[in-house]
Amino acid sequence: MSNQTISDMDVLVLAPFGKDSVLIENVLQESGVQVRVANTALDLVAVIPDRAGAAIVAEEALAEEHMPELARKLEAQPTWSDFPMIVLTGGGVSTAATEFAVRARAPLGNVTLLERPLRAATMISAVRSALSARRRQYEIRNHLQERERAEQALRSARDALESIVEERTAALRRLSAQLLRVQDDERRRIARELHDSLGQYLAAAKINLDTMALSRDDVDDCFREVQGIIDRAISETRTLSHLLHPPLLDATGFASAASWYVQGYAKRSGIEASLQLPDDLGRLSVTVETALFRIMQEALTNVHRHSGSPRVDITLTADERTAALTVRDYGKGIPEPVLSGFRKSGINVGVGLAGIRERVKELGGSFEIQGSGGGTTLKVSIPVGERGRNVFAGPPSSQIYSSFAT
Amino acid sequence: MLIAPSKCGGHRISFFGADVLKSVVIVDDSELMRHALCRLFRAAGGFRVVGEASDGLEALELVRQLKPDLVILDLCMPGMNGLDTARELRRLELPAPVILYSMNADDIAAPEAFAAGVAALVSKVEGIKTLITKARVVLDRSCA
Repeated sequence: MSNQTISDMDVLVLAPFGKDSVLIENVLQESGVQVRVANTALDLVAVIPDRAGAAIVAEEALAEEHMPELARKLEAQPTWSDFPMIVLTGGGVSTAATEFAVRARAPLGNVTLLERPLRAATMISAVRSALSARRRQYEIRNHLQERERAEQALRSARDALESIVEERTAALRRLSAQLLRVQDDERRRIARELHDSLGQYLAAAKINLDTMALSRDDVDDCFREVQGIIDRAISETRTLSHLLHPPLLDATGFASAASWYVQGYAKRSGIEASLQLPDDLGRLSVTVETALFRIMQEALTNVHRHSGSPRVDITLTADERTAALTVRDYGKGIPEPVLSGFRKSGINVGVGLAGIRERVKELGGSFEIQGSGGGTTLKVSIPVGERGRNVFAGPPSSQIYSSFAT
Repeated sequence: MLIAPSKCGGHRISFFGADVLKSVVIVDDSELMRHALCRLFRAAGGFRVVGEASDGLEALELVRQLKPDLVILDLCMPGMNGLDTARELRRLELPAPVILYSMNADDIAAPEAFAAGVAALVSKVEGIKTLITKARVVLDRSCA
């Protein structure tokens, strides 16, 4: 057979004796059927299951040595394929074995017998019928392949989804563990504060009062000492309570609470802090004000702990729909791999940033963090929902706090 | 910060059958508490606060130098806590009786404290009478 590419609807002709193959080729090509002449059964073996439309085999060729190989190949066809074979009987050398094979239709599968001599129209009709059946087989094959591809795509998508779910679940588990740790740390800190300051003050005041009852020698000193102790206890209780939750936030809103916090932050940390707020911010919902305050608190804590920045700028802008908070520092920034890991799957960062992301997500807002060199900028935008028609027209008012401010 | 000797004086009162003041070292990280205890021991009579320390390491040095009759030791202190300080005093064979004086004495297991060489446990909320009484009991015991 020539090396020419065989189309999947070509008809192979295996008729090694006489002029059969030439005649068949001529007749079929006149009818628009592409024909390839096979030299041995091996040529047929090579095209099964999906490189030819049908084969015409002269009965006398069934006895050739490679025929068992063809039979095995036909038997091993995929489920969609039932390769059509037209066997031309009579008119030539016929043996008992070929007679038996042909009559039993085994093991060649889908066999149609045509008795020679035959009319051209009979052969054309038989070939067209075989090719038509073959086309249906290809359609089924294509359908099966398409389904397999779809299933494969589905499996890949499911695997990818499972992998994302696993990653997110692990991130959430880590966050949950971190939150528990933070809660424990916070409790430990509050317990220590209570023990070290309040508890000590009250115990010392009690000892002084008991001492006054025991001896009148130092009454004036004792009395002054107790007054001093109680003043300190009141002051430290207020500081502790305000840091846990500033009452200003509930009473007068974000602007006052933020000013108070940023001023104290600058003093405590030694970082120069500027705060820009809309002139007439008015009140936002309790949820939004609390979220903005906590996010600012968390961001400033990060700046103090990690950035090494001498300065931080905090800006809040707001319109009828959203409030946007920006915290910009000028420190060493966050390494790019950490940032991209955080953006991609929300992992590889501390509980502070993860906590901010969760707060923002909960309120339907957006959270962005930029800059790996020359500082970090954290931008948060939160929908403010329904609110009164507050005025935001004025330019933002600016306040600068530093640890050196008096 | 090593604070010795204490600025607090003492009244000369005989209650052990001898006309002598018992020397006390007070160890507490809170200055207010040290001050209040110092004033208390002075008012109670029979004691003389000879030194004050604000942490365990200072306490060890002070006890080694002053060899007081009694050490009042706070439990919660930064660095070496009261229990560890008591253990260290015992290890260094500085045999001053120790009263572990804590915000809440229930926080410490008594057997653990006694094993560390603590003579008595007193809670800061129990009142000064308990502290003074136990101080005298401990001193009586160590004199016997």
